[in-house]
Amino acid sequence: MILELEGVSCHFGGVRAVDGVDLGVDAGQLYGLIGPNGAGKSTLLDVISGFQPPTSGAVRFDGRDTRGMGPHHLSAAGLARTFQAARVFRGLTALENVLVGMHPHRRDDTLQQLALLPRLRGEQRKRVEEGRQLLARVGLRGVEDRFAGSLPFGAQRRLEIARALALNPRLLLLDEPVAGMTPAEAEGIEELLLEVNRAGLAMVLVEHHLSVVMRLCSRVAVLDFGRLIADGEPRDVVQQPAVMAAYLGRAAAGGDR
Amino acid sequence: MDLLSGFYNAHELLLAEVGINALLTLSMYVTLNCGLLTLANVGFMAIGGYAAVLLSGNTHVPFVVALTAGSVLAAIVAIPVGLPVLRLRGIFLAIATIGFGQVVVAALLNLPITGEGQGLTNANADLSPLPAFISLAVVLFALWRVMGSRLGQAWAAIREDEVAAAANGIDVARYRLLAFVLGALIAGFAGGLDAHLNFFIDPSEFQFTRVTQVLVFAVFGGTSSVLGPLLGAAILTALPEFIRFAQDYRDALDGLVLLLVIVFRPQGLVGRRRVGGGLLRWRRGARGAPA
Repeated sequence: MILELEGVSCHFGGVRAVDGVDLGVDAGQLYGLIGPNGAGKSTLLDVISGFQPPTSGAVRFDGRDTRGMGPHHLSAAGLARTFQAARVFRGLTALENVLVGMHPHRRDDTLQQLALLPRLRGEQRKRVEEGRQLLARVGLRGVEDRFAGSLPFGAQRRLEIARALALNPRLLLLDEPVAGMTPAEAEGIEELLLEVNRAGLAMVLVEHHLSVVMRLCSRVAVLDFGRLIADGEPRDVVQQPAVMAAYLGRAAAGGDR
Repeated sequence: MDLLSGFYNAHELLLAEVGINALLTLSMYVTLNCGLLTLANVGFMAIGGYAAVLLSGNTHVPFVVALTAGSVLAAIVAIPVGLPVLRLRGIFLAIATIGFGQVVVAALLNLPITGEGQGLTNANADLSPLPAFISLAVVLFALWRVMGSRLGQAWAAIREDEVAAAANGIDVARYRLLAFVLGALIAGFAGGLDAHLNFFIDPSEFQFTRVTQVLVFAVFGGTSSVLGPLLGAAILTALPEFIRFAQDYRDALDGLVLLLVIVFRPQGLVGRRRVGGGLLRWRRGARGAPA
């Protein structure tokens, strides 16, 4: 199992954003995490990726307890994530964005740079080539030298995924990767995610829209008010009365999508 | 050639000041470049300057050694200052670091070793701009190379978005502290050079107006490459010397320049970046935790 959560809670004062969650993600699995607004999905993602220490409980990544590990430790260890608002480095080019993702796997070269060692050129060329390939893989050929902030929103999402892939991760957490997209853009991202998953990368997909999770995921967990109310095959999970009441009932009334 | 050497001889002091101000502005560039608006540079400059004067006055070490020791002392002080202060962001960081500068001045005014505000005399003063120019060349080269290294890339990523940087294996706190300490090292060095230029060093040189001056140099020149700080400091240091009437209104002129640049050319003289360019980049660092 690549990711295991055991009784994970995250409380802010009296607010139980995440409350006693157990779940497990297998290597290579595409795992869905759904729930209505404010269910604690994003908080749980922050806990898993090290941005938010849990109030109690244990998170294990690749069999290793992540207690005390910050986001930079976890991402360097192969746990990559994207953000709801597509946090690209706006003032860097698309290629530079992807190169930053290679940071943990790169030897420190400050002193060599100062000494003007020519050997670095070859290494840099190799990284650039790798970066171009990653950009091509997510469908961003030809925009390598454009500033990330000038790319359309859909392309920024793709760029963020390319940057995450540059970390060479074993688990990728995606926070609502198709939110705010046109149906065509969303479909493109879904295809990309499936392609990346088929290549063997495990993913946790946080989603608001049931339909996306139903299409993509082999397993799905449902959060409501910070608690896990269901966990299983997508088709079984949506049939459960608790899920219908908590998620679908309110969604139908509130006009989800 | 005669013209050139004549100019050099007539303006030695000015040239040295250009070099020192360029170094100071580069010390601010180092932190701005990783998204930190810290205004502690003049405080570190004071530490470097006083330490160098005290050391060369009380021992017989060569000037270079005193200079280096003052610079290293400033960098060492930067560690305990930076650890708590760098948890702040944006304008709060700026205010806290101004506070540090004031504490340094207060210490200079009250400590017996610094002359309790009476200042210190420096018997070994030397007007030559050469030390400043040589160190400026070294610092320019070093920073230019560092910005292309893994370290420089990490700083750029932190400047653009610290949360995303952390999610890409970059130890944000560590790299921030590194920038802060490196900035202090350069500022301390500039302080030592500055002190060496004069026969006298006193706390009035390290007041807040000096901080705003350095900031104006950086904003005017632009902070997207090492050339911006160099040009900004050179032009704004030399200009008032050649426009006589400007000398009396120097502070007002600095303020005006700051205003005009921010409104009309936020990326500064040598700015390239169209997206998120210019000084105000540090603002993005003010964004909070991830959603």
